[in-house]
Amino acid sequence: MASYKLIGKDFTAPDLVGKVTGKAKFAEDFRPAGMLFAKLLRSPMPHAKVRKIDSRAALALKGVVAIVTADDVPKVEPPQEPMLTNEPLYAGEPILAVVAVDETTAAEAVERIKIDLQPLPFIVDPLETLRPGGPDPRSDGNVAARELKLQTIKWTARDFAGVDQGKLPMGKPAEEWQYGDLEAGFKQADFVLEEAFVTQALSHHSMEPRTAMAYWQNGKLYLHASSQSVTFTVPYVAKLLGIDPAQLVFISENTGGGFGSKGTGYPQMGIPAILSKKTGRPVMIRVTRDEEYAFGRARAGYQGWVKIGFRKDGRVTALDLYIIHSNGPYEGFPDFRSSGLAVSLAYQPLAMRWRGISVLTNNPPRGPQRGPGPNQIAAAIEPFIDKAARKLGLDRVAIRRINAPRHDGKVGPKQGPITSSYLPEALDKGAARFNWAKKQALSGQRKGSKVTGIGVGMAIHGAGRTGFDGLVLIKPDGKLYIHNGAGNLGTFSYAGTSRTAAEVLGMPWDRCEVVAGDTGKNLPWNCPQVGSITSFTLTRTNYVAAMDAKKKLQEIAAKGLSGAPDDFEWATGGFFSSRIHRKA
Amino acid sequence: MDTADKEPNSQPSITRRSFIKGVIASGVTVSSVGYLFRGGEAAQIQPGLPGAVERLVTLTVNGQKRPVDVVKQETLAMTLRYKLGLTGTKIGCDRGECGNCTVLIDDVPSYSCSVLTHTVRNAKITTIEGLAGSDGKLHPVQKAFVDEHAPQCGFCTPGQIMTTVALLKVNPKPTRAQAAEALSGNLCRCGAYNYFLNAAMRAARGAEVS
Repeated sequence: MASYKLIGKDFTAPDLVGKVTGKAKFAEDFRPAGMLFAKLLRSPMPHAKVRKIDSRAALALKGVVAIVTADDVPKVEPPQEPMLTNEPLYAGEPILAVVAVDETTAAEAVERIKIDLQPLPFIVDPLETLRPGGPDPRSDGNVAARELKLQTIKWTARDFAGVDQGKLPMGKPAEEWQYGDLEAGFKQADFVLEEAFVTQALSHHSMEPRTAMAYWQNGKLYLHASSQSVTFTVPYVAKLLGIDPAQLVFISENTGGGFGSKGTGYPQMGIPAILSKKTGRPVMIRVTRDEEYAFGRARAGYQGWVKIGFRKDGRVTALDLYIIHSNGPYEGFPDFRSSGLAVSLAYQPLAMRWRGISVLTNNPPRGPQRGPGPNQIAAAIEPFIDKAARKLGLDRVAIRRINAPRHDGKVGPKQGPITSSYLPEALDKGAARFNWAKKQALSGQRKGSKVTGIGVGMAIHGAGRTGFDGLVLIKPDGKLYIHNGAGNLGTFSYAGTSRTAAEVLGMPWDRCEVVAGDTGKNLPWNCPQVGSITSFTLTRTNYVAAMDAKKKLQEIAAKGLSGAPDDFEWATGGFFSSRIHRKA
Repeated sequence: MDTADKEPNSQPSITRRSFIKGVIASGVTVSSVGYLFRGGEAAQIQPGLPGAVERLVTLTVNGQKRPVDVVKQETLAMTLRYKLGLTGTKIGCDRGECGNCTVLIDDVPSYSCSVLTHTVRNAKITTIEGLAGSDGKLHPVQKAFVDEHAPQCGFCTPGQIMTTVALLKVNPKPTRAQAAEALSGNLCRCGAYNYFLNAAMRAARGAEVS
């Protein structure tokens, strides 16, 4: 391994002192002159239609500046989530927004609004809407996901025949794939296990609620908001508001946690932008904890079923997986698909079928949360692997090791290749360091009220993306400016990945400035800060950008000092102007 | 027993007592009342009404006397953040659960979202902004948090630090378990608890040396 000066070394992130002194500014900490406050009127019902809104008493209140409803905001294509709605699909969904000179006035105005809602049937369990004649979570369908069009699917009474005996109904799926000969795989098996499972939905609840503040200046929208990403958030917000991305300056220097719930943009970010446009003044919407629960996202829950065939040695010969994905009322996130891919990768079944249906419900909107898909399914399937090990008399590490992908592992319905997998090595190393062989004996031992459990589990996670831009500048002050378009939700990876550029250019870290958190500062098109991809992706991006800068400096030196670019190399220390010198 | 205790609705405005009763009775009340304050253009001063209190008060914050216009139902968190420009104090839940808004009131760590500003007129209030020296020199607890790289997203960090400062004032050499107990009222969704404890213990060791 190369000996690095910065990569792999501890450092103090540039924003750390701000975080311990209270100077780090989050979205709610900005105060432009003349700032107004918005409050939302939110649906008290999980599903309803707005029949009539009477805002006269609210508008008559001193200090109220404007009210906007769903009719005043750009429309979105169902099943995408709108900013405001006339058909609320979950309890707490924003119907309208009032903007006033202060929050008390805005809240009082909300109280004065008379709203006539027609209650509609609602469901919180996906199975209810799949039943023949079951209620629908929205008037235009009950099944949808990203890249799965909004549609209505009902299962038959026969599908539900065993439900009272605890059998999971499994009617027509919305999607499915298969590879290999499933039937032959189960025939080949020495032991077949069949299990149903449920995984829980849960809210992210970042410490910082998704407060946002917006103002327009010289034809541009300045939006301060809480997002995991910076440059990657711009296209969503621009599309939401129907503006040119060049019109948006997005600012998010500090974000108080996200865990997937603030991956890029979200509809509520647009509300202060609309209100600011309408009033000509800056508008802040402070999101409460209760509102964060309503529209702050949650992980999708599953009801599922799996059948797994094992050979005597533990090898999985066939695997059949069905997932009923509880997706909330909108587009949600396709966890159910990545669960299927994760299972195909983690256990390398000789044959596999995946079936799934993404059902809409009147729960708070779902979104990605920390390994969306692979994590839920690992929690569901791994105990079954233990069960199989017990039945077959196999070691629990051994049964995982025999199935774990090697570098020639395959993934998904097309059995595509992977770049590398060190899962078998990881299991070996983990078992050795844990002293698995010896510690297993402790499993199940009781001491007073405590029982010791010893276990092993494995899961997979994708590593990163490619295709993003780096931007490094060397300025006359002799400093290296590393522009980073990642967000800052608390992982410090925006800073860690920037150090790669300093490493390549041999620049001392105290002579580097990381420019981030504000698209007004010419940030490069960088990856979204999601899926734990940032370190992998932007380390490489910044490495390449710095290599390019180095090459250009060599070319400049060659022109100025005569010679070929390759005649020049780097020395460390001092200013850039004195650091490039002719090879001896 | 005053009448507000029996018939809170008969009062034309919210008394501290009925406010606190509301806090206990209903989380919804907490989040709506706590988030609201009226000032500036729409301020409606109604002196002489029952329950009316003086609005212009002087608070002692970070060693400075700060005159400020405060309404009766205003929480200290709102006064600090929206009237005094001290945005280092964060509001995470506004209902006395998360501890993000922790400040010191006479050296006692307190949830400023659940303290009415009028009740601390005679107290010494310390916020995260009041810890570092005027030359920018970090407080030993802040320095320990930096040295341990304790914060992640940083939103709960000011509260974690204020609680740690308060702990070390009364117990300069806590055990790790005592530090954990002291910090148990400060939630961190990133899960950096162990790092905060490392920092608290480092600060305690530093205090021992000096």
